[in-house]
Amino acid sequence: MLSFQRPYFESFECEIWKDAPLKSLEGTLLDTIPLRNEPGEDYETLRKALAKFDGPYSFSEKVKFLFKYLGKWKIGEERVDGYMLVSNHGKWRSTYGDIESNVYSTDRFPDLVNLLKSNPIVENKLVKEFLDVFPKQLSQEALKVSRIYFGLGAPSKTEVGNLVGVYYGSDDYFIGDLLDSVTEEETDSVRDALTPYKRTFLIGSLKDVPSFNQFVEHLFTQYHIRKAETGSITLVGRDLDSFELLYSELSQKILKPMAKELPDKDYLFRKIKDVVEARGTAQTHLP
Amino acid sequence: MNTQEFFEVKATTSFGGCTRIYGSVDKEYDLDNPDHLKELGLANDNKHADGYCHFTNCFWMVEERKGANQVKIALEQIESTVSQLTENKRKVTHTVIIMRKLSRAEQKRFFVDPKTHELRNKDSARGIRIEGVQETVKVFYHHELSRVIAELRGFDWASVSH
Repeated sequence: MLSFQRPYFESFECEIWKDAPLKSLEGTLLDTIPLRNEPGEDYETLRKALAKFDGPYSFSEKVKFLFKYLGKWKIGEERVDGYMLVSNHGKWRSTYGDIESNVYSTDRFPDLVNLLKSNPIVENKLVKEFLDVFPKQLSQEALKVSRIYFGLGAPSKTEVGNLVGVYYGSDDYFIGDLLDSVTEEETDSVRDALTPYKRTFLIGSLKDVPSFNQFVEHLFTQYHIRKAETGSITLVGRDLDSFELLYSELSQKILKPMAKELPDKDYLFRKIKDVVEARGTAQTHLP
Repeated sequence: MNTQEFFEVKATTSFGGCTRIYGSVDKEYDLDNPDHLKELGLANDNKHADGYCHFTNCFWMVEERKGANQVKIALEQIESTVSQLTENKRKVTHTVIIMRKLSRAEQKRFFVDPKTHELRNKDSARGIRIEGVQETVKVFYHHELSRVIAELRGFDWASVSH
């Protein structure tokens, strides 16, 4: 990933953290390694630096170390300090992903997304091309990329409206993220209506309705979201609010009305209770 | 943020330095101003907070405003600023983050106590503290700024000694 970003992100040091990427988050800074921005050489330097921890830390502790590459983003004439964080620790991976890149915010560029949007050529290279090419580059490796999110702040699968670009290993993931977002965001009634159903059942049911797929395709066009599909799916929004508008419309026009019509948790529970009580004896009445 | 919210925030904050959360200030540094960074001995990179100021109630506050809702980055920028300030024998008693909302991803790691505004670690429920600062980090959301400022102004700061 550093090689891909190298023309635009110059990394000058790598911090090795244990438990968390900050002191205030109860992390411990183990070492700071100067880098030369030469991937091969830097990899060797880091490998040697890590060998120092062979004694004090077990293998299972070392594989949870976090690596923070500090450097400078260079986009056109702009220079902004930033970082790339490799969160090997499960707790941080679930929040910020396996690898996270961003800037230290300034008034002009509160987020890396704002910086990339300032230069359409670089945006195309680092968002669209990255989403298209990076997963393929890793296709020969043991590790596979299932999702890449580009978005404001800390993008998440339960906040589709904050995304700017996204890569999914399968288009099922996109529908799954839409369902997760609506379940997280909406009222208890929507949540209670959707939670009894298996996600795969809901995704499959939606995909099997041709008019759902047509409606989604229409929204991609309406909100300027480019779609590339080759087994996997890449979506890139033209504007910062492209995904927000798409999500809002899909949620209002399809997902919420669908939730409203489905038998909800309470209904299903009453049905279960009725059946059990109808077959039970006086001693087995449920409260 | 809609237009009304934007103007509410703008009306209650001073974008050249610090938001007047704890009353009036008598010393203020805008950390986006290279001259102020130089005066304080801070590195001229982007890894610093937005404001550092002294309130008349004796609080020394470091403030980071986040447009794009990332608590982790805000903490890192505050940590870096506080560490440099304390190295340069400057005092910091309070640290605050002002942001629109906590993203859903970060809600897994953090929560903000609605009464005390304390930023807490969701796993341990402990308040998050910056090394060298006794008070825990406080988070104020844009939509509640006007109300919070009015409430805190009503507080009897004269009874607080430092």
